[in-house]
Amino acid sequence: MSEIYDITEVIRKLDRMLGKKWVAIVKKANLKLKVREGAYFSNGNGLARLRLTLRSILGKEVADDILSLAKPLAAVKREIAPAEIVVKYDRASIEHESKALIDPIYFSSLLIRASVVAVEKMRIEEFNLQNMLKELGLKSTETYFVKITHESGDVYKLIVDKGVVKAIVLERREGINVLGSTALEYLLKIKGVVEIMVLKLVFQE
Amino acid sequence: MLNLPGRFIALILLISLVQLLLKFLPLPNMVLFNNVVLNSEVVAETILVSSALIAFALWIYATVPYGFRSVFGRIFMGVVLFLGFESVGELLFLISHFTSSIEVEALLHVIGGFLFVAGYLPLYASLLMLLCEQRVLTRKPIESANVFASVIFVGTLGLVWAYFVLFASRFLSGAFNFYAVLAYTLYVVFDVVALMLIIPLVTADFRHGVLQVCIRELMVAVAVYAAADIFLNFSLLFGGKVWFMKTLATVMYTIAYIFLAKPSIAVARIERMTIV
Repeated sequence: MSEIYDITEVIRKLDRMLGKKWVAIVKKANLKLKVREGAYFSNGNGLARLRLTLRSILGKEVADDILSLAKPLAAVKREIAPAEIVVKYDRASIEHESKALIDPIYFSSLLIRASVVAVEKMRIEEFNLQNMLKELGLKSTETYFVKITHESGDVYKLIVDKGVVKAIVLERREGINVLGSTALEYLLKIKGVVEIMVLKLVFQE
Repeated sequence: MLNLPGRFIALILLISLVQLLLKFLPLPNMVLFNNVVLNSEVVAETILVSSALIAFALWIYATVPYGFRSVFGRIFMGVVLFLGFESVGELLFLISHFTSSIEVEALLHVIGGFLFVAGYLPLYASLLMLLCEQRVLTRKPIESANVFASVIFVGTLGLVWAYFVLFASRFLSGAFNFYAVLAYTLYVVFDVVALMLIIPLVTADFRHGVLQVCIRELMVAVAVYAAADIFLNFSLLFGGKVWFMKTLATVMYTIAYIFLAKPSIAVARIERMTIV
């Protein structure tokens, strides 16, 4: 990320120390200075080049001491785009609450007042919960129980509260249950045809 | 320590050799204008004055971009003024050889002598500023042991001189001119004070930047100059009776001026220099 630095104090210090020789040093460092209302600005790359030049002239410690006066102002350009959020999840909750999904009593009590809001069959190339909820026309403000049955026979059960995964369990075809973040990792790798059933959960006041 | 390239050493050796040869080889005494005789001593002194003036000009060129407002600008300005006074003093002494009037010669000697003494004031100012800025120059502050050792070591030179002068005045009073001894003693005291200021700093652990290397070379050059000056004053005390002392002092002076000139080139092009 390239940043803009206010190097007015650096220039003043160099001026006090070396006089107008700082102009030659700045030119040698190939530093493109922007002057605005008596203040000097430079980007991070220019400052790095100035650091190298000053280290050669004044030694490492003195150069670093002078350049510590440079103040970072703001990031002006993001070189790397932020990664698209595929799944939002509550780490603490999925580690502790996922066990409840394999408890038949808790599970049945959860479903007493639930109502089916969507049943769909779709092909998944890259799992994205947010897109899936959008495609199914579901609101991100509600709490849902989502059951995803993969063509391989694996079944994923999730509780999604306001778009955030609160609990997850993977029931493997072989009868093994995988809980929490490990199950979430499997879900993120899922590909192929899946059957999705979504139940809207209603809690008593 | 000092990074002396081959060309620099060759230059010093060449000039020293020429000056020594001038002393040994019988140069035909050429009569110039006003019945002035151009002998080998005058040629050797001309080389000395030329090197002093070149050092002065190079330091002016190096110091101008630093200005007088900046810390190092002021330090370098002290060196420029020192070299200015010394080189003009040397020039006046050289010119005095070309005059037949004793009054003019005496006047040139008085002015030249005053310039030699006056040159030490800006030099002291520079050395004291360097001591104040030691944080920029050295990795660690100057050790008190170094200060103590340098004062004892350099002070001993002063004591030897004082003892020698007292001894000479007591037993060889007829052979020495009182005012000349006083003047030579004054120069030696100035040199001793300069060495006392330089040695603690030059023996400290310097940082590895171009500027610090230049300043260290400069201080070594001033130390060589001071040593040459002390040696010259010893030789002058004998009234030029021991010929090789005067010649060696002239050679040492020339070398000191070349040493003084050398860091000015790096200081002038500091942004283009790299430390290997």
